[in-house]
Amino acid sequence: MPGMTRKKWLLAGAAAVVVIGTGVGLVLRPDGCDICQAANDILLQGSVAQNCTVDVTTEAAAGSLPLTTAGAQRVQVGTVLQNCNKKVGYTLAVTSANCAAAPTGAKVVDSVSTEYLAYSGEFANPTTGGSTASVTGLLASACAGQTGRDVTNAKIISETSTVFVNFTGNTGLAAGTYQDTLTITMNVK
Amino acid sequence: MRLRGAAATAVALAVAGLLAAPFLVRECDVCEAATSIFLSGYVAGKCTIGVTPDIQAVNLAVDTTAPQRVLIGSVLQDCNGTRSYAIAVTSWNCAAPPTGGKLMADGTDDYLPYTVEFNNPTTGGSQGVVTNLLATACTGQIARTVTSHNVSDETSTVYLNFTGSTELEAGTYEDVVTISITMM
Repeated sequence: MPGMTRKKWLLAGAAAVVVIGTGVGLVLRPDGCDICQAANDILLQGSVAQNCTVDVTTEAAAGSLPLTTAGAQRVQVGTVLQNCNKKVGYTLAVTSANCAAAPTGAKVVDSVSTEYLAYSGEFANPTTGGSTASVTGLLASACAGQTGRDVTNAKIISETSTVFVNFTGNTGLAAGTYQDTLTITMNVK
Repeated sequence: MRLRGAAATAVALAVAGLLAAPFLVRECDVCEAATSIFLSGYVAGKCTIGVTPDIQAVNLAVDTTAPQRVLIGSVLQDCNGTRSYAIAVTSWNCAAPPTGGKLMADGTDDYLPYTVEFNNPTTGGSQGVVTNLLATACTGQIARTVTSHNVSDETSTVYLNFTGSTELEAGTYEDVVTISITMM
């Protein structure tokens, strides 16, 4: 919109009574009127605050992973409801509490036996804003820069990504409670 | 005593002669005259508006999802002619597609349509309430027409009608409404 400087002037004078006749377009006419036309402006303005949020809902299955079931497992552990009214976009980053401990990568760990089971994260996304529908291998071998969703040039209103963990069960795991915590963060661009 | 008597007589004759002289001699060409001075004043036609924006005009609840009618200003009018005048409304953003009054923000394609409403005194045959100004057109948006009437310190109030949206992109949404008076 052109004329931002002019609008600032208007805003500054918004509370003042402006009497037309000075500084506005006057048209002198020979047929008997000194001020035949006059005009003035009212600036209209309203603001919409940035509102970019994620709301993570944890699935019950996240607390009862079949760690000792042989074979490849893909378990839905949660959903991520997203809203963002900044069209520039955002990313969803995923980190894990145990990732940095050797060996690097996501893993559920039994703090007593110190045994662990490696896993990777997966995001199933709507494709709005150029998002990749399925992002796999998250946290498999790196802990930083793990992006579950990348939205560009789109407003997002109540879209949900689904989060899975992928692992291969191990029947030889020591008895115990194996845990990790995933953190999902929205970063507006 | 004789001299005194003669002098007194001479004085008496002189006085009598002075008193009698105007009636005895009348020699003037223009003895009476009259003329006039034409007095004239000119009051030029003068129509003015004083626009007072309301603070609500710059605090519009654009993200509130309900029909809203917001007072955005008042227009004080004075017009000393017995001719007619019209008040028209235009807006800076109106011509941008889609045609019509709308609030727009930098850096986004989002916009919020609105219409302008005037509440007028009914002097000179003015319509009391004029709605839907700038709804779908940008020119010829007449908010008030006063026909052949002297208007002194009359005020029209201006409202903005719109329905907010929660789906607008973050930003500052703006437009400028221009109110003009034209003597006809």
